Amino acid sequence: MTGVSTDHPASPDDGLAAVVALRRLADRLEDAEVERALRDGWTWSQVAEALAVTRQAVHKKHARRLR
Amino acid sequence: MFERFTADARQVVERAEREARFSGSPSIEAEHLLLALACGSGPVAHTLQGCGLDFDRTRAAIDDHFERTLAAIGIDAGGFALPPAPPSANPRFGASSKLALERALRAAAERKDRRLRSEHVLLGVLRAEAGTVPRVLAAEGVERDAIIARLERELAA
Repeated sequence: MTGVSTDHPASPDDGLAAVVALRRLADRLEDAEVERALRDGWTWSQVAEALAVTRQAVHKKHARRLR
Repeated sequence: MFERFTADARQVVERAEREARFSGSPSIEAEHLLLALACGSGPVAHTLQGCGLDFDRTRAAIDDHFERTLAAIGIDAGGFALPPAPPSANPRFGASSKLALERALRAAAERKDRRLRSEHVLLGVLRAEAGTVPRVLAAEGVERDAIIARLERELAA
């Protein structure tokens, strides 16, 4: 994984687009990591705590896809 | 909401849903509508293809846009070695696609068209001034205003 540099977006348009792209990346990363954790034997409660969200939230978001 | 849509326009919405689902997106966004409009052989797809936006190019342009946007803030998305996105379970309409469809309805109402056609959907997608789609189009050198003007002329004819 690479780090984040201190580059600052040149304009609000660039900055807001960066937020959208980051959310999309975070969603994809979350999908992949939740799936990996469950495969490795983590419980939904452990995954939820690691993500700092409620068990209900993580279950609602991922259970249908991963069953 | 969809009862006034022509069969073509309905297909565009269904195709956009499929694009969102199979790209693993939790929501259907305006770029999924753009992708749906670019595929097939109808007049709207033809218009987009005439600007260089065939389906494959459009998909690549959207991916390039996100990659470039992350690179601009120092993030190498390739460095995450993400597996291919698993299909999402039930993508809902996101804010950008809702806005595009509202604009499409308005475009139809403006010319008192009773049916909402895929031309209106394209107009609705193109009329966005901010967000992913206008940035993708600008990066591809597509003249948004020119296509809008052409579509409006065609719809008036």
